Amino acid sequence: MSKSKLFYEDVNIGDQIPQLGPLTWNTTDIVRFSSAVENYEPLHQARDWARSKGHKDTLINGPIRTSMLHNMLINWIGDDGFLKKLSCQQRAADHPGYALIAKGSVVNCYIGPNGLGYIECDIHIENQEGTITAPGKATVVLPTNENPNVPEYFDLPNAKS
Amino acid sequence: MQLNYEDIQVGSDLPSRAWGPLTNMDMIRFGAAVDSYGEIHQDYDWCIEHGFDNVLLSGPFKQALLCSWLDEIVGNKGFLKKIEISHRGINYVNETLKATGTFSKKYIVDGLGFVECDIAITNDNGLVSCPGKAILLIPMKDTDFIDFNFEAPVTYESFLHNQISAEFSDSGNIYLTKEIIEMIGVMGEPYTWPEPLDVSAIRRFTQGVFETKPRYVDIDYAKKSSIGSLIAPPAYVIRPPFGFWDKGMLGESAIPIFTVPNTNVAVNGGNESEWYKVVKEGDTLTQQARIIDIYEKKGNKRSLIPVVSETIIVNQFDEVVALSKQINIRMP
Repeated sequence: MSKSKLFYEDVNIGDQIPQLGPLTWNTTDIVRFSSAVENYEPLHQARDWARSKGHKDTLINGPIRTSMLHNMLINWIGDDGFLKKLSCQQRAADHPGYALIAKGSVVNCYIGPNGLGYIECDIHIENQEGTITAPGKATVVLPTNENPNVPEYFDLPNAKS
Repeated sequence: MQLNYEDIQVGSDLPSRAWGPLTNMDMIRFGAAVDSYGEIHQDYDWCIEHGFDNVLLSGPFKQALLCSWLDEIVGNKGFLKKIEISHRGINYVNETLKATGTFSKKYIVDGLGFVECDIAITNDNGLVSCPGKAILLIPMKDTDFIDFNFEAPVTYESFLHNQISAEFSDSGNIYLTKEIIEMIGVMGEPYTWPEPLDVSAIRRFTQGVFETKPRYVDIDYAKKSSIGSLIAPPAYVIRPPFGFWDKGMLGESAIPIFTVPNTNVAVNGGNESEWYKVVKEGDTLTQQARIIDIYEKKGNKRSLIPVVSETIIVNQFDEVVALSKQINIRMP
């Protein structure tokens, strides 16, 4: 599917980001993700172990939820945008079989000193019960009509020019 | 210390080795190393719902542990040539498995010392789950290194062209119908690995079977060796090519898939594998399999229908590196 390029001028405060999901995470999906990052903690796969530690079941990995937020933003901004910053808190447990949705909205838009468009967003993961289990914030950089190319590299805040 | 062919006493025991308790994590680490994500080997609730006591340790995991143990016995200069095991009992996570064996025969062919042994895995309750045999290639006292390079009994070309078939005769058999008998000789499509064997794949597999042998884990050692690079442990070479995402979520084996009528359970009955050449980092393997036999074994309570397949594994030069026979038992 070809996607039209998203420009800074297309985005307004209050816009909803197209959601990702609901995606149901079964044990197999969780194990596959954990294996890809070589995290073999029993908390994410051994159900009897997790219950013996007082959990309702094994837990969906926090980085799974963070990755869903990444994917939602990357899908939205397309190949010409740049995911600049993302933070998210892991506030509550999600378990195998839960259907997670990544959502977000635009809270601020400004032109940065480099002439590129900066979009600040509130983002979160919610589960099928509507509970927000991982809230966060993100900043993406978009091309503008005047500066249509976003660089692949950005200077660190304290970098010497 | 390197074990030498001259030191082997037929009738004496192999040094035993135990692993465990093998946890859910150990099972998953192995499954991940071979891209196998079946619920039966990771999901406690699924296993309980399907009548098992816990998560099952997989057949390929137990076989790979045996291969690693035998590889340790043959030392840095020796090789595992062949292994043949039956899967007789279920092992669950949290069990401790112990490998034992006895040297049964020794002989020299073309100046190379071969040693046969009877092997088995026993758990902490005394259940013997993987009885079998192995052939080891053990160096003579004055051997510097063994060039592990054998001609297989078939070439890839002849494997593809040899005809196998069976006559359908018993029209009263509810399992071995005409369609099922016609499956004998059916060849699956070739599966070529999507990428050359890399250090990461070898590392994940060696970690999955607690392997410490330097030719599989130590890059500096491997570079200085006569081979010049890391090689794949034998059990890795015969792993099914799970991980083909386009073939479905759980990937697929190269073995043709079909259902035997009036059966609804399929279990891993055993495997016989023989190796002919080393597989090095950078090699790209292709597997192709065909069904070579399907028959009925009448038990006291129910019939067993073993489906026997043979898989040829070749490298990028179409050289046969291993042959692997798999028995998959279907039952009502």
